[in-house]
Amino acid sequence: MWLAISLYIVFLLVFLLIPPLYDGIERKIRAKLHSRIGPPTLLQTWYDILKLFKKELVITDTGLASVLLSGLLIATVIITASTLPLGFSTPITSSGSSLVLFTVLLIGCQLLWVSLTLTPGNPYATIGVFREALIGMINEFFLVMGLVALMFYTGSPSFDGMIWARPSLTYLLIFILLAVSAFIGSGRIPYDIAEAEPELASGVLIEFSGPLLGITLYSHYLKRAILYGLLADMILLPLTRIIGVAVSALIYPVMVLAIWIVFAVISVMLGRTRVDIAPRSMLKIYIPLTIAMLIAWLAGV
Amino acid sequence: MSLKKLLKPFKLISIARRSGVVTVLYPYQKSLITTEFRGKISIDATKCMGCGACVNACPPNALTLSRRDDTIILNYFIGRCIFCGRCAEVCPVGAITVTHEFELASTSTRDLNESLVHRIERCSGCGGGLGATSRMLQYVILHSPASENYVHLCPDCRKKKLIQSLAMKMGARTEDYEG
Amino acid sequence: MSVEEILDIIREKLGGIAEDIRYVESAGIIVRVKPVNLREASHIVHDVLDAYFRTMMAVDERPINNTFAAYYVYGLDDKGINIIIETHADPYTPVLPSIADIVPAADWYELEAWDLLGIRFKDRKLYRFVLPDDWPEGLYPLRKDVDYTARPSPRITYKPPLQGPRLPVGPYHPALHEPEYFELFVEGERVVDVEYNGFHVHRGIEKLAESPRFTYQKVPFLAERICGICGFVHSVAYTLSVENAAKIEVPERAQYIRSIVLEVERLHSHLLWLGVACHLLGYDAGFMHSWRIREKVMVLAELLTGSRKTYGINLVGGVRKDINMDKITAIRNTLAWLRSEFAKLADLVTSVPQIVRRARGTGVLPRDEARKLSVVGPVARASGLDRDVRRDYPYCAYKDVSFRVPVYTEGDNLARLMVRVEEIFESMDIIDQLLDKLPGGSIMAEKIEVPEGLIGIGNVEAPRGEDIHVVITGRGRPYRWRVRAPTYQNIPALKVMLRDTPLADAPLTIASIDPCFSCTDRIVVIDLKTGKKEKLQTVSIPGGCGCEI
Repeated sequence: MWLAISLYIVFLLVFLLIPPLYDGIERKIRAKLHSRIGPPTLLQTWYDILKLFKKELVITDTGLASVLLSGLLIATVIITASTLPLGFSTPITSSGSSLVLFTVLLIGCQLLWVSLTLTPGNPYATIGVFREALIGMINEFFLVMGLVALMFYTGSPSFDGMIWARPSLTYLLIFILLAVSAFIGSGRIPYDIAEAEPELASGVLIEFSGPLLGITLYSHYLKRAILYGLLADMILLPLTRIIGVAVSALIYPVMVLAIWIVFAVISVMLGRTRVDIAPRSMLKIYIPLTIAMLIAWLAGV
Repeated sequence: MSLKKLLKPFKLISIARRSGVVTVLYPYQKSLITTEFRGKISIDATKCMGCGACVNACPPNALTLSRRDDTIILNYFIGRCIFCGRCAEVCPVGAITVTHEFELASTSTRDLNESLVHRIERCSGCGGGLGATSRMLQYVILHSPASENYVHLCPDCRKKKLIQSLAMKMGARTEDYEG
Repeated sequence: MSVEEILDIIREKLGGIAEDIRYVESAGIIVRVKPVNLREASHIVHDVLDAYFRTMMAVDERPINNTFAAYYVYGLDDKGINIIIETHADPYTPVLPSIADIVPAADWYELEAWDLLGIRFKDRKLYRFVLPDDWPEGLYPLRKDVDYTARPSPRITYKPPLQGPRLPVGPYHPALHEPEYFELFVEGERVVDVEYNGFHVHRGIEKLAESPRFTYQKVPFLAERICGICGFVHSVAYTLSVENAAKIEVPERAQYIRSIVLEVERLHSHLLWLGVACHLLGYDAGFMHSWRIREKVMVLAELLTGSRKTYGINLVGGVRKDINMDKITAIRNTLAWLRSEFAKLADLVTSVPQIVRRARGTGVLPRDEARKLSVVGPVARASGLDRDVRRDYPYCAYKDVSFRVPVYTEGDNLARLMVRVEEIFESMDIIDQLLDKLPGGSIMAEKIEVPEGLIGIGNVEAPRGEDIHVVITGRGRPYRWRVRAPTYQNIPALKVMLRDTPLADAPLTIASIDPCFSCTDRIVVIDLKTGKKEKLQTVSIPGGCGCEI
C-alpha cells in the first residue's frame, strides 16, 4: 500500500514537472518547421518560468485579487492533475466517481482562469476574456458531453471503468471528440484568440508579469498536459490488460508527449481564427462528430 | 472542400525539410558578408594629407576637420558614420579604404573616435602659419611643378616675392628691398 | 495625345481664370491662378479632367517674389502628364481657400502647410497636425526666416484622457512596428470608427535638406533615410527630380542599375510584408519562411550595392556602383531560386484556411472612395484603380520593359495580398528583362550643374505606391524639397477600411496598406476635442489619420 502511494507520488511529481519541458520540445520542433535553430536548450521554458519567479511582484490596484486567484488557480490545476490516472489507476482515481470529480475540477480550472484574467480590467484583457469565455462555453459543453458519454459507455463514473472498456467505433469517436476539445481547450492556434499577440498584445496575459505570469504560464502548460493526459489514458488504460501496469506507467509520459507534438505540429500549419468564425467552425466539427457518435452507439459498433 | 485542399497546409513540412535550418548561431558562427560589404572606413595616416575633401563629401558629418594651434585634426566619429564610402571615393590620394568591419558597438564613445593630427607648415618667408600641411604642399607641387617656388610662402610673402622678382626683372637691385 | 493637345484642352477649360499657362518639361503643365480662382481650378482639374491628386508643395517664396506659393500637383495617369496649379498668397497674412471638400486627398496637405508654413486655409478646421503638441504657436519651421537649428522651448499642453469605448492601438503595440497611434472606437468586436494620431517620428528632413549642412550630392543619402524599408525609392525620386529640373543626361546604364535595385528593393519589401501579414494572422510559419526567402534578396542587395538596406549608391547624375558579369550571374541564380521557392510559399500561404477567411471581405475600400482619396500603389490596384507609376509616368529604365499591372476589384485585404504576391513575380520578370537589355557605358553623368530656380518632379513606384518628390533648385542645395511618401496618401483610406471591420482584423487592415510611418512622418497630431461625431459625419474628410517624413 505505502509502496503504491509513494510510487504514485513520484509519478505525480514527474507529471507536474514535465509540461514546461514538453513546451521546450515543442518550441524546438516549431523552430525546425520554421527553418530556424530555436531556443538553445529543451529546458528553455523551465528557465523562462524560473526567471519570472525571480522577478519582483508588481501589485496594481487589482493586484491582490490577481494574486489570490492565481494561487487558487494553480492549486486547483494541481489537484486536477492528481485526480488523473497516470497510465495506471492511482489510489485517487480508483475511487467510485473519480471521473465526475475530474470533470468538475476541470471546469473549475476554466472558471478560475477566466476570473483571474478578468481581474486587471485592461481593455485588451477584457476583450480577450470575452473571447475566452465564448470559446470556452462551446468547447466545455462538448468536453463535458464527451466525458459523460465516456461514463455511460464504460458504465462507470470512475476512471477505472476505462480499463474494461472494449475498443469499438463508438469509443474511437468519443476519443476523437475529446481530442478535438482538448486541442481547442489547450488554447492552441487557431484557437488562441484570447491571447492573440499581434491583435491584443497577449490579451488575457497583458497585465501579468513576474511571478504572477510565471504561475499563469505554468498552470496553462499543466492544464495542457492534463487534457492530453486524459487522451493518453483513454488509449493506455484499456491496454493495461495486455501490457501490464508497469509498462503503461512508463509509456504514459511518452504518449502525452506524442499527443502534445501532434497537436503542436497541427497548430503550426494553421493561422489564428477570428471570434465570429471560431464558434461556427467549432460547431461544424462538433455536431457531425456528436451525431456520428450517437449513431455508432445506437448501432452498437 | 476536398481532402487534398484540406491537407495542403501540411506541405509546410516538405518545404521546411528541404530548406533545413537557415539561421546561424551568431556570433559563434560568422555571419555572411559579401565581398561588396561596406563597413567602417580606415584612414591611412601615411597617405592622408589633411585636405578635407572627405569632410566636404561626408553626408552625416562623421568626418570633421578642426584646427588647433599648429595642427589640423581630422576626426572620424563612427557613431555618425552611415558607411556610404563617399570619403573613399573623393579622397585625392586614396588614403581612405572601406573595410568589412561592422561589429563596432562599444561602451565608451572614445572607442568610436579616430583622430589624425597634421602639423601645419610655416611660411618659409615670414614664419607665420601657412594653413596647409607639408603633404598638401607636396601634392600641389606634384600636380603643378611650376608652383614649387611659391607654395612654401604665405599669401603675403608670395605677393612680396612676385613683386620682387618682377622688379628685379625690370632692373631693381636686391639691396633696395633688403635695406 | 500630345502635350499640345492637352494644353489646348487646358486653355479651353481654364483659360478664363488662369493668369498664365506654361509647359515645363521637368514638371508638367503649370497653370497659375489667383487664390480666388483656386477652388474653381481645382474642381475643373480634379473632377472635369479627372486627374488624380498627387501632391501639394507649399513654399516660402518671400526671398524670391515676396509671396507664399502653393503648387498642387495633379496627374493625368492615362496620359502620363502632370497638371500643376500654382497660386501665390500674401507674404504677411498668407491665406488660401481650402479645397479639401473638392479634393478630399488634399486634407492633410493643407494641415501640414498650416503647421509648417503658417498658411491659413479658409473655411475649414485647422489644427495641430504634424508638429508635436508642445511646439509653440506661431513658429512655422519651414519658413526661410526660421533657422534649421532653432530649438524653441516647449509650450505646456493638456490632453484629456481617454474616455468611452476606445481601444488604443499604439504608440507601442505588437502589431505596429513603428510608433503610431490609432484609437479604435469599438462596439463589441466591431470597429465603428478610428482616429489616427501620427507623425510621432517627424524629423524635419525637408528643412534639413535646405540647410547649409547639405549639398545636392549629400541629400540622396538623407533621402534614403526617410524610410528603412524602401529608402532607395526616395533617393531615386530625389535624384530624378533634380536631374529633371537641371536636364542632366544620366547614362542609360545608370538608369538600368537604378531600376534593377529598385525592383530588388520591391522584392524584399513585399516579402517582408507578406511575412508580417502572416504573423498578424497567427501563421508564424509563413512569416518565417517568407523572411527566409527574403534573406537571399537581402544578400543579393548587399552584393549589388554594398549594403543590405539603405544602399547608398545613388547620386545626382548616376550611380556609384557598377554591375559586372559575376553579379549578373548571382542575380540570375537568386531569381531562379526565388521563383520556385516563392511559388511554393505563395501556394502554401493562400491554402491556409484562416488566412483566406480572415482576409477576404475585411478592410474593404470601395473604388469610389479610393478614387476620392487618390490612393496609390497596391491599395489602389486592389480597389480597381489601374495605377502604376512605372507604366504611367515611366522613369529610369521602365520604358524599356513590359510588365503586367495586377488589378483586383474587391478592395479587401485578400485583394491587397494577391496584388503584392503577383507583383513579386512581375518584379522578377522585370529584373530579367533589364539584365537582358543592360547597355554598356559609364554610370555617371559627365556634367552635373544645377541652375537655380527650376522646378522638377521625380516619381517612383515604391513597393507601397507612388512616391513623388518635388524640388525647386537653389544655390548648391535645393531651395525647397517636398517629399510625399506613398503612405501619406494611403492612411486616410484606413478610416474607410477600418469601419465595420472585426476588431481582430484591425491590425491586418492597418498592415494591409503596408504603412511606413517613418516615411509619412515628417509629422501629425489629432485634436481630441474635435471629437468623434464630427469625424463620423465627414467621411470624405479623414480628419484623424496621419502619415509622415
